[in-house]
Amino acid sequence: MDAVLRAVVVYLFLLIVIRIAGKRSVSQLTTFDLVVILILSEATQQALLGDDFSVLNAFLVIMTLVGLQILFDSVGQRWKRFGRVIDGSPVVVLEDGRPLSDRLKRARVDEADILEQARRSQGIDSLDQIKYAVLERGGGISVIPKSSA
Amino acid sequence: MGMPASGSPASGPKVEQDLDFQRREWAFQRVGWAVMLAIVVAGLLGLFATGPLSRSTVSNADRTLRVSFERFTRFGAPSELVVDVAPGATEGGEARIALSRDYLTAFQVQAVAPEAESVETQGPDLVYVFEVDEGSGLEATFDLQADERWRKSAVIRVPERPPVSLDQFIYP
Repeated sequence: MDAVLRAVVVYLFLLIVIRIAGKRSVSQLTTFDLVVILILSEATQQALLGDDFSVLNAFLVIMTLVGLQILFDSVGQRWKRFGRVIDGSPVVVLEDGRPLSDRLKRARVDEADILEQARRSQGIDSLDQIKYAVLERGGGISVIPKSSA
Repeated sequence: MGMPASGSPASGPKVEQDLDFQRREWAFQRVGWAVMLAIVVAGLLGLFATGPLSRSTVSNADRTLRVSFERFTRFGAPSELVVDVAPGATEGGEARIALSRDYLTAFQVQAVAPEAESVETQGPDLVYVFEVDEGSGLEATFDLQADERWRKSAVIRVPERPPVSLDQFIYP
């Protein structure tokens, strides 16, 4: 029981903290982001497993964590509101060449990020060639170019 | 080719955007950052163990026994308990410090400095016996490790003197 409880508590805690951290923090990883993620996993290890080095303990924790993922995912699919609380929702951050500054600022995304994505995915190099830029749930940016005249 | 430059359709891209929710989410995040900051600062100050907010000292009624302990500690974490016995409370070259046994099931004694001559059971207590010089007191430091969770009480005694009671909280 202990193993399962620990896994549930740690899972929920991480979910809340990661959601508070915001989308940009977890996608488009820099090298240091990767380092922080590694350290995060070290920090949770002891809490998840405690002093119990048995294989069964590890199995229980793993199954609980994966089970919770499946559960939250299914519930999120069924109830859109719940899904939005867990995963967030996409946001349009640029419309017809004009960046929506208020949203960009709150989402902690800047024009440079949009341009980078535009270069990478569409090969376009200026904001006015973009019809829409959408900050997706996972934190990535999708760029929809203006159709060429 | 005569295709007109595309203007944006009034409805925007077919994206399941929920701006109300999004704004609330952003506000929630800002509140969350403030809460995280507060928790981290509280942690630094010792609300969650080891720090000025946590260290506390209690004496017994006639000031012959003084105990310094951490009000807050965490499961599995080390914690120091310092017991100061006044010279008047020692007898025949011995200082006898009695700790309640339930307390010692919650806290494992990792080490005692100075080392005890012997450890005896006496009713509900475990008595640590130390050799002291005639007429001196003793300061004994117990290195404890929290082995259980939640609120724990301890009663610490020396023979013939009023006891010291203390309460600790072990975070899970």
